[in-house]
Amino acid sequence: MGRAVMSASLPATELDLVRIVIAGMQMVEPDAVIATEIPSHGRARIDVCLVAEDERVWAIEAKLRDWRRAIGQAFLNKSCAHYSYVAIWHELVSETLYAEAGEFGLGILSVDSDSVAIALKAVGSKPNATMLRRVTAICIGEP
Amino acid sequence: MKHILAYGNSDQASFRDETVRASFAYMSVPGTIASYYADATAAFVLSSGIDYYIDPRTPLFQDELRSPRASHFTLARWLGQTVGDYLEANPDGADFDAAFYSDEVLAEVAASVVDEQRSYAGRAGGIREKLDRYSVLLAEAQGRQLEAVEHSPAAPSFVLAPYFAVAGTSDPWWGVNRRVLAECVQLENPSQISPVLAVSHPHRLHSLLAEVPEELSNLTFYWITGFDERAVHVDELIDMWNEIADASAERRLVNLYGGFFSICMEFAGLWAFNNGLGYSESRGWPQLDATGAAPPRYYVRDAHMYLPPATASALVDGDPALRCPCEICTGTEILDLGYHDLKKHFALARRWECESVASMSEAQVADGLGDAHGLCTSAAALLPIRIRPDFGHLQRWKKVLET
Repeated sequence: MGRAVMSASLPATELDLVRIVIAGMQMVEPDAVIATEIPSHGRARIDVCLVAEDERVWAIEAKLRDWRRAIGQAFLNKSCAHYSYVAIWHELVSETLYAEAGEFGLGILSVDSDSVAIALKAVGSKPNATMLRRVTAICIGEP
Repeated sequence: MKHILAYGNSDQASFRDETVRASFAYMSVPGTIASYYADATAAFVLSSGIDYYIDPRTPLFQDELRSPRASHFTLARWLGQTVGDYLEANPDGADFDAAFYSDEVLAEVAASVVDEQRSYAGRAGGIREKLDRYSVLLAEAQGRQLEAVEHSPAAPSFVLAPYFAVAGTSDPWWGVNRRVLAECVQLENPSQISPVLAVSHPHRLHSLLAEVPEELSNLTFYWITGFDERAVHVDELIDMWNEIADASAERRLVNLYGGFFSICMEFAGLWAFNNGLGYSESRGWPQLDATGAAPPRYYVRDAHMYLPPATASALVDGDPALRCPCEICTGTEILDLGYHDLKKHFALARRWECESVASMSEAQVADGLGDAHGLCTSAAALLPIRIRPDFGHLQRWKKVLET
């Protein structure tokens, strides 16, 4: 998967970052259903959830700065998604982030003002069937 | 040690369950629920066969009550006409300062609050149909066939005096407390009315106890406001322990909000403690009015703490020794436990905790806490740093037991 080119504004907020991620993932997986703020476990919500054409579920945690928090949340998202990613502002993608994400089987999406790139592919997870079903249903808008 | 379980409005099914019922000795009923869902609560409580008491939650009517809820209006009526009318006249918020509680008002409050509790069983007469329905539901839950519905509605096991939260004996609200306790002494059978002491620090408890009228019951309820057994410094835990050890020589003490540390305080002489099914092991003030069902949480019994189910699942995956062997958890993933099962698991875990401590010495419990700390910390080390739970409370409790 390559780098998808988008608009040119710097994100001021995480919401802006999420919009860039969504636009990017729509180019990467054009037939996927993408939704935001999907309830996952407890009071947690997945920032961006994607159900691909092959029905594999991606969970993406987006953070402008606090990548360690994103790692924690993305780790827990493995219980409800096949692939779990952190989406981080490109300037924060570091060797330490690569090491930690890799340790926990997480992927990294590197985000800049006009593109999203898969810097590290997530290792496939074996999510809990009940949670996967629930997250998928909410993402695709099933009642 | 008597375990008291607090009744919540979403807990009826749980309180009909035999597993849950076997995990506690008494049920506490918040006055807000008893007053607002009046008939349904009375029908449930009086048909349950469970020993119970009602907590009048009078600190709700202390200082500013912002945006009162419907249940606050109904409970205000339990405090008598003056309090009820005052809140009705100030529906957007009322200020109950200490001066509001004149001697006349306190006399009314004491009489009304005590009478509501003492007469509670008498409500059965007016809710016969509901009582019958709840009896049928209970029988169904227990797998029994009901030939005929008979009722033996019981009075509360304890009657609690009105109470207000204080910082200590020099707090103006302590004067209000003293006067309301004095009013309780004037009522019938004061020796069957239990004082309730809500205070901000454990080391102030003894000075309040010294001023409680002897005529009242020696069964005394207490609430250290904001005291979270898992979070407070070890010195505060030691203070708490010492206060209980001193006071329990002359009184039976009941902690209104407690958890595993309270179970350990059996060694200090604590008689009972109360908690909800998955909540209310501590309560701040003035946060007393926080209501609503608790979020689903999983109780990790070796850690003696709640965790979000996903975190608990990840922790247990790290070390199968942490996997709970109870009938709910065996063969089921934590993430597959529904809300009712999470509560049932908690009830079983709490019962296990009570029985375990009862069968061990202080030294054995302390050693167990040390072992648990090692186990939990090792498992947590496999998690990303930001989601690693803090198990420091196990070490702090161990230290208190060894002191």
